[in-house]
Amino acid sequence: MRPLVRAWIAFWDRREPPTVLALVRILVGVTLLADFLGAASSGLVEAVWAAPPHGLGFGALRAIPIPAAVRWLGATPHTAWILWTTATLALLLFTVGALTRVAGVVFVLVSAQLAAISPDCDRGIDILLRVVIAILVLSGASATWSVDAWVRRRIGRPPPPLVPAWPRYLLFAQLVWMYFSAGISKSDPAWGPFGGFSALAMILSDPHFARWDAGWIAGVYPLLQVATLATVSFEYGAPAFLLASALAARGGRWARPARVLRWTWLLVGASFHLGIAVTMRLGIFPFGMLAVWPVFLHPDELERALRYARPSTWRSTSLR
Amino acid sequence: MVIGLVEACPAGEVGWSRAARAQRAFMVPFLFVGEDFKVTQHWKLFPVANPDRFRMWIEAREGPQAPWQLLYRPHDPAHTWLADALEYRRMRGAWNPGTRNVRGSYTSFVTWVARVTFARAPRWSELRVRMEVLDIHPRAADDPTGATGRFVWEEQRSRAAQAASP
Repeated sequence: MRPLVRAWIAFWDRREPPTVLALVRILVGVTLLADFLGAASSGLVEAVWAAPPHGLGFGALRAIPIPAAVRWLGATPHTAWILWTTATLALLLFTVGALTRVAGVVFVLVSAQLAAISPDCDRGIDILLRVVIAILVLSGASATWSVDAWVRRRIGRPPPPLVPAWPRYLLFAQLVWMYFSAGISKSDPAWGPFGGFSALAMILSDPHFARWDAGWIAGVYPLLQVATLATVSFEYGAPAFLLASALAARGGRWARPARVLRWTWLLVGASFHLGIAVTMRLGIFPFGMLAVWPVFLHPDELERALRYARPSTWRSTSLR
Repeated sequence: MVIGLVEACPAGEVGWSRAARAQRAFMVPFLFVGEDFKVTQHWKLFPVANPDRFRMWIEAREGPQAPWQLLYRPHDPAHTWLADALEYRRMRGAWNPGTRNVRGSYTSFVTWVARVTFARAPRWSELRVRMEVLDIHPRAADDPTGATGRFVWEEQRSRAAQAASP
């Protein structure tokens, strides 16, 4: 029993460079900032988050209990603006890594108030990114690529080069569960053989979600059936991806097939999200999800990818 | 993590009534986490993908006897009134009906569309929003969306009534 407990503690006490967590912090911050600024540039801050009749925020009048922000500030359009401004400023600070933890906590609290005011306008991706930011607040995500790290170096107290890895593991598990949960909730036969794997064709013919008119669907119908099967396999395969990642990291004779499975799953998943981004109008969903995806990489893999992406590496490679 | 795992368990959905009761009892002291931070571990992405879908129509008219004129309909390039605003994340999903019904904010949405329309276009005195029932057949050559011409969830607003309300 004792070795098991020791292994469990050692697992959660692992340390690693903070680059992956910092990248997720920046990507999630940029995605949410674009979303909040997009709402404002479309003139929708009051429409989405103010109490009726000014907006859709029926929670400001009907929620039990009434959201704290409404009790303190009133059910007026000003409240929507105050909350939007606070959330946007907090996101900006969080993204650049200035007062990162405070900014993250403020954003999570304000975002929850906005969700309470407009429950219908708080989608799954908003909930997920709220969870992600809450976990990042507890992590070493500001130990690099941040104003906080720069300030700490300037005052002679540099951030540690290694930070706890458990927040990345937790985010990893969160994504795996999210995909698997989305898979097991697919109750419609259209997602399986009894419905002819017709789900994606149905969804892409729905004028509320499709980016284009449905005229092109018939021509690629078999391809969409394959894509439906791939989507369900990807979601149901999330636990297998978790296992494959663990085996690939451990080494041994299962490492090679595990690596193949891992990269196949990542490739199918990336195609799934990019396909959604191109063919459907689901707002920030595909971008918000991909913003968290770096947690699937070990910091060493990210380092290798970044090194390969540098123009100098390309030049030296092409000279060989 | 344990709380998240227990909350995530789909015991109720798969009909394990004892497990669902135990799950509810376990979660009682932690309900505030979900309620105060508005988080959950139940995730869904198009669980239902059947042919029964809807298309929103926004129409307006100049008086009680005047004919209705179409202002906005998704995927209709000739009718794009407020399209930029309406298509921002489908106003974060607020006007998009669920599988069985419109969402709770639908009436507030219609009120908001009417307020904005009456303010920007003085010629209109009445506005209605309704959902056309679709019966989708993706491989149909003529109209894959299967527009039925049947409408549900009609909500109407008038300039006079809005002016009289506080």
